[in-house]
Amino acid sequence: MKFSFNQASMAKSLQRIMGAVPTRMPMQSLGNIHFKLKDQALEMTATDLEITVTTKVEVIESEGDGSILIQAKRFNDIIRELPEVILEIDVQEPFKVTLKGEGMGVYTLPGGDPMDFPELPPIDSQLSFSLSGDCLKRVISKTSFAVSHDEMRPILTGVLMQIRPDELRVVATDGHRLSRIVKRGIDYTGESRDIVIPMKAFSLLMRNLEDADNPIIGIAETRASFKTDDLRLTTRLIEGHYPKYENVIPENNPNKLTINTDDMISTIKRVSIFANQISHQVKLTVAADSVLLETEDPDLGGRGEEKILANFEGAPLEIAYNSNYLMDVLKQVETDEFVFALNTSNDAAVFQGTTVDGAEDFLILLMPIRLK
Amino acid sequence: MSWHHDKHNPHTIISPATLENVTKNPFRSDIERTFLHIDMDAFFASVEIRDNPALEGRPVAVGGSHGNRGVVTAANYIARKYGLKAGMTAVEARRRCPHAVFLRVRGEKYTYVSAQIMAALERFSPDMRPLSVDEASLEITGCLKLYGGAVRIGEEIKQLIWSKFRLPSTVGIGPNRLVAKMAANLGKPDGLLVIHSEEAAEVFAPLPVDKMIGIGKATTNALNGIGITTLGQLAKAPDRLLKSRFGILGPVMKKLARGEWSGRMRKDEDRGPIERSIGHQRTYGEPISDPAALKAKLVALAEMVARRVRRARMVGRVLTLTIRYTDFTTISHQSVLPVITDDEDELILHAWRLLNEALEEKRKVRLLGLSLGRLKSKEKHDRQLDIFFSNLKLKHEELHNALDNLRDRFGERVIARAMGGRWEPRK
Repeated sequence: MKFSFNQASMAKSLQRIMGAVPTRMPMQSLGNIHFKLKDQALEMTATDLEITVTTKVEVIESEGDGSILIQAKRFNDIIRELPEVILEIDVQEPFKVTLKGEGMGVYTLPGGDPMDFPELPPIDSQLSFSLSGDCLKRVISKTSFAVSHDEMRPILTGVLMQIRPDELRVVATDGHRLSRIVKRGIDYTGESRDIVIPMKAFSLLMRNLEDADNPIIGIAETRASFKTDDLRLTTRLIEGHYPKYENVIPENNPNKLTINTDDMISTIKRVSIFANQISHQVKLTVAADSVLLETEDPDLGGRGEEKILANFEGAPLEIAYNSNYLMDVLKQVETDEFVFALNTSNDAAVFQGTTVDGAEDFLILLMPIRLK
Repeated sequence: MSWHHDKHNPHTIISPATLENVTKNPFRSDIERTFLHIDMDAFFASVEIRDNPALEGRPVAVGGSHGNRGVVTAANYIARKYGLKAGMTAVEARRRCPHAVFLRVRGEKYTYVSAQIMAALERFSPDMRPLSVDEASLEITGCLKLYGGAVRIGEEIKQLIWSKFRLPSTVGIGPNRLVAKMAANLGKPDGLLVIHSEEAAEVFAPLPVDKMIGIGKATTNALNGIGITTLGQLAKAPDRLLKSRFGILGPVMKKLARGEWSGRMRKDEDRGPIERSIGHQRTYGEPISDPAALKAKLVALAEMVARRVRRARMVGRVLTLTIRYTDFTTISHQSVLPVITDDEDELILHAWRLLNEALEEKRKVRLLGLSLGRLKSKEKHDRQLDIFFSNLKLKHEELHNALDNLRDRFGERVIARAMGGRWEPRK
């Protein structure tokens, strides 16, 4: 088989799938990209067995059908180094791949037997629905910061998707903070289903989705797939019971703290420079019209202190947070002012996004650091 | 009755001077620090003799009282003259000293006395670290003036332990924890030995290499194999030779032989390898294969480890379980815990899982060990509240504090888990 393509479009397609090529390989064949040419259409697939990504590649001319494995890293490296010209791949038996370009050299790549590549059966979706690329990207970006990196609690290293008729709830938590976004008016009428998607699958999707895409989400027993016109991502679902987060969201935190968002961000950026490098603690002393932010690093010496204007309904309060976590919350704020609903120094703070026509609910819950 | 420290102990005269001259000089490149290591002499045996004066003057061994099974866990100095020592099998011990008194191990009693001693030591320095049931390390740099010198502190500690508990101990003082511990080892029994930083190498030089902490049987053999038998030779050995034979540990051993504790005292370095994990192990006179019995033993170990971790105000993340079978094959399994903890319930849960993973069916277990590693200061690491566990954690913390308190005041046996982890009925 033989096919030619533009360097730029190949580079773009490679970007989509290289993220699925495992860095440490349990099977040698996984270090390859699977090329499949059929009826003038070329598809490339990469997998780490958890996540499989297939993308279409624009072909200029082609000859014959067939498939071949090509070393992913080497192929990606040479494509990146080549200028934007028309390139041609020629596959001779057995598994010898030659890459040529107009006015360029000739590169021979060791190919592999496509039979060695794990071919996952197509997923037999029990339920499927469609979401706009824009909406899917939004729910991912509003929750992914709270995903846990602790491999000992694998269920929390994923993002929970609760699919309900007309409604999608997306949740992530690492135990220290929790983010939940609810989207209403979803085009789905089937039965309710909860799934947990590995964060890596969502990271790959974030990189590859366009706002205008209309991915179709299909869900089977142990896997889920996301399909657009030129991309298909299949991921294994994380098994286990996601903690019952509903019970821990405080219903009515009585004390509302209102602060200018930009003021708060720049203040935290400054004072956190002086925070303890392990706890990243920033202490907030909340009064009726101001908040005093204090950091201290007894190990290395140094402290930071800044007071900003605020509006607080409630009795004065001292509460401390990890400044990184606080920044993560503030990055999600989309308004000039934000409101933190507080209870006591040891209870979760709740931030709620503003909702437009009730189509979206966005909430972040943040646990404090216990003060001495 | 008064105590004495130089009667049996020629080492005391090595350096009767105090460390003030060294510590007062503020222009040193490194700030000189002073550490004190206290080691109870033949602890278990001493406790038994204290409680039964009829044993005084006789060779006493603790352990090996079930006839010919089991091992000796401690021997007093009279018994040691016959070659008895901790770890020796009962058969061997009886052969060497048939007229020795062999006593039942009463672990809970020693733990109780130990806890009381540790509590007493705490008032000498804010940095008191129990290293095992009968050893502790104290940094005394900051309290030298208060007590009038390192030797004074040492004397006062020995005096207190004698007058309050009627137990002999040995104190070692040095510029780092390693030298202090070595000084205690050399000063035994009932001694007080000071080794200055500049004389450590000289004091260590004539000693055989296996006297150094951390140099075991295998390393000793390997060192002997390349012609190094004394610490003096090790201190002078070419780096390249040591490196090629022992890798990065080679130069480290050389430093130890010179009394240097891994160079400059930086933030975490001066903590030394000793405090990076806290563990406990038990050898069972009668080997165990019944899983329920093993679980009970494991629970007891976890309780002890958790208690010591809490006492050190640490929390840890890596749990290691060690199993030794009757044929002395030893295996270790490790697990990273989901949360950094000092909670025995967490330790029990994961230790039990590790035991199930590691245990080969029907084999008899001779020793179980459990340790919690990657320790960090509780102060810094444990205050971030958790959405799902905080309430439970706070409750557990209250419970453990209350239990620790009870045990400190009334002894280890005052309260126990219903499954009988710590307490066992007398046979």
